[in-house]
Amino acid sequence: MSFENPGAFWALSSLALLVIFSLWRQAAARTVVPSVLLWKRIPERNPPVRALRRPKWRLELLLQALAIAASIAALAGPFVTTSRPKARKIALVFDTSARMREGGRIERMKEEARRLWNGALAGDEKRIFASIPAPQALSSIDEVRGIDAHVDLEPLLAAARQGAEHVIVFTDRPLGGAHTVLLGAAGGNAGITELAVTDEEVFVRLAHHGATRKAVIRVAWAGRVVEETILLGAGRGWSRREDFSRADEVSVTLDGGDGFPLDDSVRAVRLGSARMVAAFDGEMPLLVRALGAVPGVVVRPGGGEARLSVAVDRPPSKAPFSVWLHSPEGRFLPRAWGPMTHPLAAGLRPAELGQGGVGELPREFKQGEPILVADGRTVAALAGGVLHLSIDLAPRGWASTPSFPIFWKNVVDFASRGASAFAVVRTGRPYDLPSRASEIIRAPPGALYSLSPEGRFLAYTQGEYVVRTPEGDRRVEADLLDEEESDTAGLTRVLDWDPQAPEGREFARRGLGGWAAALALLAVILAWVLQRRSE
Amino acid sequence: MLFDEVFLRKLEALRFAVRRSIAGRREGERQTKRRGGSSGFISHRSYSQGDEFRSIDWNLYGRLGQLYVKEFAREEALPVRLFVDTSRSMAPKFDFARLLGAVLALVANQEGNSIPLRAIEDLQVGTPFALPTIGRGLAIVVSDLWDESLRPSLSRLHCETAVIHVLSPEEVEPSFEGKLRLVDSESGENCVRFVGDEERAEYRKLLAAHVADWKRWCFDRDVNYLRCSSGTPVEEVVQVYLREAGVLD
Repeated sequence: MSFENPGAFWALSSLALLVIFSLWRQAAARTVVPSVLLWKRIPERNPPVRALRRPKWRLELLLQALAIAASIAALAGPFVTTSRPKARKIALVFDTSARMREGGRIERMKEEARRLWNGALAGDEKRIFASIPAPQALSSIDEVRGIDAHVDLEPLLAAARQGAEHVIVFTDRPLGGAHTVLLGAAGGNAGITELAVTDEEVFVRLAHHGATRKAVIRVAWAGRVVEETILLGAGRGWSRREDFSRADEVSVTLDGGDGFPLDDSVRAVRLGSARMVAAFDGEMPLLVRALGAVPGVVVRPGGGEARLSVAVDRPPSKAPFSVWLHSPEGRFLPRAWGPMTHPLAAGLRPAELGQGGVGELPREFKQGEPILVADGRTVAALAGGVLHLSIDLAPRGWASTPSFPIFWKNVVDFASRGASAFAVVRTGRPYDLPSRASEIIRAPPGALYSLSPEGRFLAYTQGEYVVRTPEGDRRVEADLLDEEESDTAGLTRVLDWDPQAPEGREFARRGLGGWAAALALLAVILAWVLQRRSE
Repeated sequence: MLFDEVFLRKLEALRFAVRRSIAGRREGERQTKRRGGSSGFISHRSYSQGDEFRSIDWNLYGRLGQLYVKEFAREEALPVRLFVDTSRSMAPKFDFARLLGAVLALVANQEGNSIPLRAIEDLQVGTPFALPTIGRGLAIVVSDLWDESLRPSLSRLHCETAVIHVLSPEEVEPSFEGKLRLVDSESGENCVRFVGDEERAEYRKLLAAHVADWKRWCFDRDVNYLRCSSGTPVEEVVQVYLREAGVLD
């Protein structure tokens, strides 16, 4: 215990005055005598000094001394200083990606978080962050739920780091700049990461994260089913030519023998006719071939009226949507690519894009919406219905990789605004429905999705959705996961930080002056009562 | 109240010593000036009409030729009244006063009185105490005499009176000291005094003057006065003090 004004204790010397005064003015003790007749004739006098040598310590005097001492103590400002671990500001971040459904990891994450919340982090200020589907702060761990899409943790971490001293991420992959609780699951998952369906062919890209094994792939359409046993390797494509022209829906199922079903089945749903004329001005057989491979596309050399026009190193002919290919200037091999979130970049592999080198767009063409950015330089940009692209299209470069036909399929899809024959919707990625699609009239229970006025559909929950259009209600199936979500194994590791490690203590001062004053008042009252009783 | 046999035998020998002739209503062991038929001759007087012939002294008639009547003193019981002060101030010495009263009652009963001992035993301190007016006999008052109103009451006793002034040892020699609120046991009146050696000495002087005043007051009124301490054994008070004071023979 300490005192703010210890000098006040000098006033304790007044206790000596109290004792002397009390001895001098002792209260008369009550004594009954047969008669006071004679005593009244004896004059009253103050006690002689020698009487002071026989002090009588009475309770009344002790209470008076206590009152004085307590009053002085109150004036001295007594206080005690208590300390406790300083409350830290901690953000709990949950990776709600689809793969975390494997092995019940969403619930395991919540359970682990609750244990920390009520245990080592009990005295801290805590906030909860998760992408459901947008990065957001939650008020309770119970609100955490998984989504059927990939979650980019970077924007979530950026939000969580604001004002937080420590960030704890519950995920299955090591991260930098944050403490992590890793919860892995069974590995060896195999799943479908790409699906493209034309009237003549179905193409499937498979991912496999286990040992080589056999699996059965099944294609069903218009009452027909085709099965094929394949050998799952590290990753491969699979295609089959069939007549799908009269099918409204083509479903592909992979019986991979794993416990993660979300990427085992994909459906392509026909939205409408895909007949589209694409005008190409230039000499580039690989490009013509890629465009021609897109179902419903008719490539016409030269200019003329077309829905899509493509030109190399010159302005393309007038069309609702055009692609202007620029031969790269200042060619460089990119080391890092920016986010590829635009539908035109969907499914592209960065490593394949830069194989032949890329170039930065001239200043006048890179003012639009950046589509591809490499090493901080804009490689592709969309401005006024024209896509400018500066990538080497040499035969041994990007044009020879799977990303090349995927890109042109994206271009055709974007130009036709969802009017292609079969729509394949990937969760977590925007899909441009026919522009006159007005609303989603049916969705899976509890589904997370959005539909912009421009017809951009974004689903975070797998399942069947029904879109209202002037031509009638159209069915859309959202079930294709991001490729990253197929790797469900991850790592298991306890929190790589000791949350109970002392990080300083905060001190609080608790004043006791009020108690001392109350004690003084109580002592005064008791002394007064005793004095009244003795009288 | 128990007295041993020896003390009771000693009591049988005791009589009240009365200085004035007392006329009692009942005939007892005591001779009074009232002429009566007992054997104790007092004097002769002239015969008057109505006297009994038996009382005429025929021998004197033979010598003198006149009728004279013999007067005899009549032996009567001595009426004794006991008054034991029951005021609150008597509390410290009430047992002594009650015991002394019982002894005096026994002596009185030996002289033909019938004072019930039960009445003395039933006395309780704190009850009002007052003296009635008495015309004859012997009145014995046992009191601490702190009540000044006793003086007029005693003055109204027109009989042989003995006052036994009882004080407790604490009243004679107070042992208390220090600053005291002295409360009167009877009136509740109080006064605050510091009691030390000087005050005790002054008190002793005042008490001596108080006792002397009562003694003088009694002497002036032919009242027998005796002061005794309640710390003194009753036997000693009876055998010595009361006899020395002339209350008992």
